[in-house]
This record gives sequence, structure tokens and C-alpha cells, in this order.
Amino acid sequence: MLSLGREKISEPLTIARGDVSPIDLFTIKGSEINKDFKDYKSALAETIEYNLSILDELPSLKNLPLEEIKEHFKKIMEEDIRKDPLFEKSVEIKKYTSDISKYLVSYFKEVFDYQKNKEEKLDSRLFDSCRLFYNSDLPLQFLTTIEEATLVQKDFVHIYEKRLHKEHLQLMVNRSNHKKFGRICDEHNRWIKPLNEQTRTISRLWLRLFWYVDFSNSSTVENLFEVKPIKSDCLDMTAIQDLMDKLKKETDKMEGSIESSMEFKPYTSFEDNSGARAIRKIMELLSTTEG
Amino acid sequence: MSFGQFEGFFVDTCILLPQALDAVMKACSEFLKEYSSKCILSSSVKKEGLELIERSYNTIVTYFQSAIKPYLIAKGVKGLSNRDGKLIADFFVEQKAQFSHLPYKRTNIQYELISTIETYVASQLHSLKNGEKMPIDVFLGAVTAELAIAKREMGAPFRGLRCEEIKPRDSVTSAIVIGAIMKNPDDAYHLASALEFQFSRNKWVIFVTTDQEDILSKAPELEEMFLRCSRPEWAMDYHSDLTKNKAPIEHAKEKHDCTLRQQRVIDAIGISATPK
Repeated sequence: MLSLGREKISEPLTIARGDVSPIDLFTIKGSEINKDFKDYKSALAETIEYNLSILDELPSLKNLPLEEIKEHFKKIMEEDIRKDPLFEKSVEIKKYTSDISKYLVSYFKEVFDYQKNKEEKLDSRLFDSCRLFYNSDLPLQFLTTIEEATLVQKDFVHIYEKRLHKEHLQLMVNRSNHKKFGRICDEHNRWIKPLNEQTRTISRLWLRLFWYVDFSNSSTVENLFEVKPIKSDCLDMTAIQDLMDKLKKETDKMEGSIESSMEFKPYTSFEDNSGARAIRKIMELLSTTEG
Repeated sequence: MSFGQFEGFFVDTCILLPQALDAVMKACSEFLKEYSSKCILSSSVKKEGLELIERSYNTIVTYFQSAIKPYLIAKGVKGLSNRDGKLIADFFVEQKAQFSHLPYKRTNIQYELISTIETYVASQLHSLKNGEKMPIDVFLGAVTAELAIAKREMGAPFRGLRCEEIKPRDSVTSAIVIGAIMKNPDDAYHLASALEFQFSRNKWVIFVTTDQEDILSKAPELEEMFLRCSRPEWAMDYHSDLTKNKAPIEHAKEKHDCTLRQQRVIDAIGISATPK
């Protein structure tokens, strides 16, 4: 049953903005991170700045001056961010992480909602990538690279969510035991820190690639993120290849990092999934022709 | 006398992604449900499985991009609804007609491949709500996104299982190829990986597969070469049987009247070497 893309028929591609994700660290009151607490306004400024900084990393654009895009971004981004439930949640979560022992219930309520929104956003990115591909003459490698990067992040969301459920319970049980509570927080932080960095690197590279392709095929700044034909002639394919290689490298790295946290899940039925059935049948046919 | 220990079941791609036949699917599911903690994936099987999934997915997407999309554009189609089945059906009729000049076997495979894609597209088209019309890029984009998710899910069993990085020596692979007259070099490599691992750990392993044509039909020869292969239904029975033997190295060393096949394996492994 088709579910992705149904609500997006008349919409432009999502702005595919970069998020300054919440600091997914648990902190007990009085620690260093508490000082880093940011209010809504500064988080907004930080997110805008983050996105503007990605613009500086794009391969050079021949069709539009970068300064013009920056100006346009400044105009549209604030409103876009304000409307984004993911951003609002991330600010809320940051507040609660500043003292997890006090805000335990609120934190987990918000964080589970955030994870759900994040997954929806990744689904949306996946659809945008596929749609862009069918409006382009780009090689299949472009689609598979950009899509794998999205799917590995989705797997990470699932792994993270499962871990959070376990930790939620552990923290609740040990709420009055400061030492144990602290140990659970430390373990969580040790686990999440490198993975958070990896997922942010992937996200940043994903945006660089997606934006470069979209911007290079836009005639004006108003045309950015609109659905339009994408021509490889408008792109520096060496720069594209370089970005794809970097993104694939980071995706593989992340894949390796999360693999040990993945639970074995056997594939037990193709009945409900016509896509899986088609792939399995073609696997058989390819094996026959090559075997 | 001390008995040999058991290290695990080396699983083939067809165990992790069984054919969509009820009996095979059931046997594999039950085996994995019960013994997944004892299963091992060789790095070569993992690579083969994930690459095959990827190539199959790529075949479908390439077909969408290079055949279906241009056809719809050429026909001036702006959007698709669940009432456009005839239009899509005509496309597949035209496509299949192009294979009539190919030799029978080749035609058959191409025909099946396109029929598989046809079935998939039909199911997706018919899943659209009544009155809903999707632009071509949205329809293909949504279908591809769902297919990508299915691809990822199919790869999950390969990512969640204990994987061992094994590079069998050429001599071990050759012993398997010559001894069991293997036609498929990839299968020979997977079997050699299991055999190499068995002797390096000096613990028994069983190669579990449903591949009758290329592997199970050679099971007696492979057993003679100290590698037990089994269908999932019988794997545990063979396990009990194997552990009545001594450990693999001692077992091989004590073979006084080695066959030529056994001698090749003993030489290739270098049985006299001290086990790790």
C-alpha cells in the first residue's frame, strides 16, 4: 500500500533543512552541560547559522551567487524553523536534559515524540530523494547513496528508541539512587556521543549533496526547493562524485557502528510486502542467470 | 576419549532470505527462531546477500527510470490513478513482445523478470484510493521509497547476525572445487570459509542451506572432506551426531586410510599445525 508521498503531491520538496539536534546527553543538575542551556531564541539563531555554514561548504555554483542564496535563506528560514515541530521539541528536550532527574517524565515524553517526528522527517527525505531522481538524468548511484544514508539514520532512530525505553525504566527504578542514576547517565552519554557525531556528519553531507543538485538547477532563489527538471549538465559531476564518495564512506562507518546494537530479526514472510516479494523473486532470477 | 565441541551453524543466503515457498519459508523461520544464537555468517555470504538484494533493487529502479517513465511521458500521461491499469498493462504487453526473438531460456528469464515488476507495479497502482491521481514523479518516487525500505528490511537479518571475517586460503577453496566438483565459485568460497573456520577453531560447524542443486547434491563429497552440510530441518540432528566425534583436527589426524579428497583437505589446511 502506497503511503509515502500521498500528502505531498502538490507540495514543493521539503526545504531539507539541517537541524541542530538536541544534545542527547543526560545531565544531572550542576554539571557542565547545564551551563550550555540555550533558550528558544538562541537555538533558533544557532540553527540558522548552522544552515548558513553548510552553504559555504557547497561546490561552487555557476548559476546563482551564494550571497543571494544566503540572503534568501535568512528570509525564509526563521519562519520555516518556527513552524517545525521537530525544532520546537528539540528546544524543549534541551531544557529537560539540563536536569534529567528532575524532568524524567517530561523528558521521555518529549524525546519519544521527537524520535517519531524524526522518523517521519527521514521518510520525507527518502521520498524527496526518489522524486528528485525521477525528475533527473542523474545516475542510479546518486539515488542509492543518498537513500542508504537516510536509511542508516532511520535504523539508528530505531536502535536509539529501543535503548531509550530500557534506560527510561532503569532511570525510573533508580531515581532515588544518585550513584546508580549517574552511572546510567554516563553510560548513555558514552554510547550516544560518537553516534550523534556520525549522524550529524551524514546529515550535513546529505544536505550538501541535495542542496548542490537542487541549487545548481534553480534559475532564481525563488526556484530553490521547487520540483523541477534536474540536469546533470548543470552540475560538476566530479564534485558530485566526491560528495557521494564521502557520504558513502560515512554511511558505511555508521553502519559498522550500529551493527553491534542491531538485534537479529529473521525475515519470516513476504506476504504483506509486495516490494520485498519482487526483490526476492529478482534475486532468484539474477542468481539463475549468473549461477 | 574427549568429544569435539560445536562452534555454530554457518548459514547461507537462502536461509536468511528463503524462497517465497511456504514449506521452505517455514523451515528456515523455525530454524532461525530456535538457533539464531548459534548461527554464524561468513563475510562472503554477507557480502553476497547484501549485494544481491541491492542489485535486484537496482534492476527494478533502473526499469522504472529507463522504461516505464519514458513510456508514460511519450503517451502524454500526466498522472496515474487506480483506473489506469489498462495503460500500464499495454506497456508490459509491448515490453514482453520484444523478447520473442531471443532464445527460449533467455526469453523465459527476461519474461519472468518483467512479469515480477509488472505484478509489483499493478499492486501499487491498485492500492491508490478511488479518485486519487498522482503525478508520475510522485507515484514512482513513492513506489521507490517503499521499495528502498523493503530492501533495507531484507538486509536486516544479514546485519544482526554474528559475522566472521574469513579469507579461506586458495588451497582450501581449490580442494572444495576439485573434491566436490563445484560449478559455482562463490558457493565454493562460502564452503571453504566454513571449513577453514572449523579447523582454525578446532570445533565443528555445519553449513546450513536449502540449495539442493549446487550444494546439498554434493553433501556426501563435502562430508567426506570433513564439512557437514544440511537442510535447516535436520541441522540439529547432525549437530548431535558431529559432537560424538573428536575435535576436527584430531578427527582428521586419526584418519589412517584417507581418501584423495580427504588428503587434499588435510594438505590444504596443514593439519599438523598446532590449532589456534
